[in-house]
Amino acid sequence: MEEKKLLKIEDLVVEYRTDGGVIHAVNGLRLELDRGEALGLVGETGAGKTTVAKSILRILPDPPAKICSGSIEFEGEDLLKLSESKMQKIRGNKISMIFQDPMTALNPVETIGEQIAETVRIHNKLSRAEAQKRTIEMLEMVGIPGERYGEFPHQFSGGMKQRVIIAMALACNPELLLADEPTTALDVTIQAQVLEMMAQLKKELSTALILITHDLGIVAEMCEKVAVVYAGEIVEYGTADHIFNHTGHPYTVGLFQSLPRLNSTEKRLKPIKGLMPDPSALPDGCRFCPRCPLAAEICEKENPALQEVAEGHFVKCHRWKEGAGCL
Amino acid sequence: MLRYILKRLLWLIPILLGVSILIFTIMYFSTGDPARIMLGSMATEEQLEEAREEMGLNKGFVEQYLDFLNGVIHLDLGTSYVSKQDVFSEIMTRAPYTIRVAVISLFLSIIIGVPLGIVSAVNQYSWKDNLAMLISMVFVSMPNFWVAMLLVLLFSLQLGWLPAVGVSSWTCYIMPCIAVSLAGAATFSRQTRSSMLEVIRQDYIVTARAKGVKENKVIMKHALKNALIPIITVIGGRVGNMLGGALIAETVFSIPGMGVYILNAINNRDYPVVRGTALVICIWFSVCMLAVDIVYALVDPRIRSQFARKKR
Repeated sequence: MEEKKLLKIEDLVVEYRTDGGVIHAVNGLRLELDRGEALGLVGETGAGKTTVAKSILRILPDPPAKICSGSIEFEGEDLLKLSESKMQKIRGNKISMIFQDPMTALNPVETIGEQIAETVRIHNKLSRAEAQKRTIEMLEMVGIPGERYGEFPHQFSGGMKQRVIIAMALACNPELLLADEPTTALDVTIQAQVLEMMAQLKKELSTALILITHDLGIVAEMCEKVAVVYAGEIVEYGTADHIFNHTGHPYTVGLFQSLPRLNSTEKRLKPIKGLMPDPSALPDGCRFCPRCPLAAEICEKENPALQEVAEGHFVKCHRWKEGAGCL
Repeated sequence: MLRYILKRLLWLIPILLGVSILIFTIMYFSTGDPARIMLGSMATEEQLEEAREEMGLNKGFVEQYLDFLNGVIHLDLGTSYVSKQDVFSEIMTRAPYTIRVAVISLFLSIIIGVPLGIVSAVNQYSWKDNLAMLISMVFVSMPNFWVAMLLVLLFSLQLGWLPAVGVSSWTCYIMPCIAVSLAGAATFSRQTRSSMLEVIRQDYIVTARAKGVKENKVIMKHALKNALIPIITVIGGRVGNMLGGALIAETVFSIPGMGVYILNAINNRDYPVVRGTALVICIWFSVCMLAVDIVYALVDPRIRSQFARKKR
């Protein structure tokens, strides 16, 4: 018997229903994750990465967001079918999330200690004093002195706030950690510190991780697996190693080419031309077709299926064979 | 913090000084002769002159003002021209009625308005929201003297449940307080709705949900506390209006409070009473504003830390 996956997302469809029309944010997304595994969810702004993460926790703002179909199985249980009260027991306990902007993600009128301790108290039968002790342990683990327990968010810098949020997310030893661009709002030196700390904590606590980012460098460092998202679909999925060395999808190729390289003599970066398609009016065929350098006739008509091009490496492209050669 | 409160209390002195000058000047230059109003149209010129001399009305502006100020410092607001009673003790016996009506009304407004606003915000654009906002609209549009009269018509004349006038028992306060509180409740509910809506979309509310906090606790603990500052501001501002409202309610329901007192005094050109009462109302208002500022600091640590910085 095959061991149960920790997380298995099948055909997830999420829409935002607004007055201006229906926005197709996530379109039939599939994803699998084993225990303790780290997956990088890569894609440009508006690709639907955050929507996926928030769907897993079911914290999308409804309205306008609506999970239309699909399933999100976590430890064999479909999260989309759980009652709200059961879901509350999972949030922050088995699955927790680190948000993009530490400046706004903390409640300004509560002490940071109380904010972490609240999570601890909700999910464990602990007294106030015990919860406080656990919180101080967590704070010290992320490098914040325990005596700052009673201080408020405005007394911390951005990097420190992100540490607080990480401590909060890890306080109940979650099975799965969703990190939504955890370093985007931080400056580069702090980024490195935070990432290093996350990698270390992940190792210590053997938490599975979904790292949402548009920084391929971070993915290379932190993740075993990569899923490249484009217009709410996964266009390439596989081990980080294999994707970095045998890139299959022209979009992924484009992502790599738009990175600056220190050892190259080229003076200009090669950005991917054009913009993401309007998610309220997606093209009929391959979503990437209008921007694709390899686009052929079939690409305009038919949306390609995800096909396995090597063991565990999937690419959603009609012309992946040609694509592979162009990096 | 304590230092801040003390500082604010000291600020009361120049404020009250300014107010006293203003009140005094307005009364000094207002038309009508208190002596004539007091003695009636049959009084002879000699009697009037004698009365004026007795009341100190023949002294100059500055001298009269200084007399008044000197009295205030010694808690002596003079004696009423009309009743010959000591104004200060008169105010002290009347103030409890007014304050009772104002405080109960304020409390009523808060417990009606704030929950209404929360329900509205949480169910934005639903029928609950529409209903709550419709109620607020109706409440804020009805002048309170009119509400007072309608209440009297219904509960005293038609149903005979509640006494229409007087202060003989606690039931007498029900209608005045309702009449005064409706407009406040409407204002509070609208303010609560808009500031809750602002807060509910914030990232830290999503964080709280992602932690597994129960929805009602997300609203009551994480959202409401953050939405409170603008609500408190509006509540503070209403405190003054409540006094004005109480004044009208007192007239309609014949409550022997400060409102009726100052109103009669104005009609009779009873200067000491007008000055004294206005001064007391001003103190009440300033103290309420101070209370609002202190509550700010209690609610929001960022404001609290500003006080701490000032101390250094």
